[in-house]
Amino acid sequence: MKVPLKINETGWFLILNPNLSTSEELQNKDYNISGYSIAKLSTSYNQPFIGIDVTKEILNLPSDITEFLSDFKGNGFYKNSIFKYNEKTIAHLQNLVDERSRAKYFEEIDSFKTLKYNWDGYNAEPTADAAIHLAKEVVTELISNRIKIDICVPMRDGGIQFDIDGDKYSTEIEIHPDQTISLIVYNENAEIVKNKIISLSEIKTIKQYI
Amino acid sequence: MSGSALYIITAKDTLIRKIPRVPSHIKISIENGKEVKRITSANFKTKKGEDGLSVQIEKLVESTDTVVNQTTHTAAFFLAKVPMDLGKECKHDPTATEYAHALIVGDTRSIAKKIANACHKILDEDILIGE
Repeated sequence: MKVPLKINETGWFLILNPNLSTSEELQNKDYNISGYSIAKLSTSYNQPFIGIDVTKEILNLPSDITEFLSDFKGNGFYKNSIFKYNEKTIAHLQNLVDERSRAKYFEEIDSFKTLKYNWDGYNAEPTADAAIHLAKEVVTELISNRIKIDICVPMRDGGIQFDIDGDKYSTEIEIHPDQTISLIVYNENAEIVKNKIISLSEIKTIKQYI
Repeated sequence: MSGSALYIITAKDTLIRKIPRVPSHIKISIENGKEVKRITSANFKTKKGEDGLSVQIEKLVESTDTVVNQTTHTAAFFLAKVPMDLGKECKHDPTATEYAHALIVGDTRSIAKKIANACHKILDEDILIGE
């Protein structure tokens, strides 16, 4: 599971080209901008990471990455591919991640408009326009509350489902064609421990289960 | 196997459920440092007005190709034991075009995630965790 970025943390980031190998630990804790992984290292890590030489790749970073890294020029970044971040740049990074994440899910949700009756081979309904509209509002709410979506899929009844898997609980948000929202919480044995209709403003309560 | 006689599904039978390839219903996560794939429960939820969840009985299927158009769908496999242990009846329900068709009778929404997690195989996928 990818680790949410915490704005108030201090520490080090390592930027890696996806074609270069790195440790499994780093792969598991990365963020992705323009195809580049941005890995957060341990907060106790206080030395430049010399083991992986990505200098040549860093020099060709896409503009949206170099933009937020501009603060670090001359701070050892180009030498070591490592930079120390501050709150301003973290907020900027977070906004970039949020924007891309939102755009990705909006695009995915819009793609459901093309589904025709029987898209699953078992008489599933086309996705309802009302569900598409509400699902986008839910995405915005989830992202602004730093809740990571594991998958977003059309439902057989014309609704849309979000899966959010935590360590102890798994939750599903069902957006129904009648514009109601269901929250279903499962324990580790996939047993339902909560199943209720919620409002958009209650989406943030999911945090307690992840 | 074909004919008019109904097949009696036992707990040991494997059931097949078609899964659309696009949009993907397979979620990938990292568990204990390894990539694992699971199917979302949305595939196993009945919609209002349905008598049950349609599946195919593997034993009655000549080949997966006869039930799954592999360009548009993949398929998930799970034991009939899973819904049966949760109190659901599994009954052979042949149609005019599909002798191997069966139903997990009733509303399956409350057990959909259990079934999804219990899938032991997805066609063309090799890293799956099932019960």
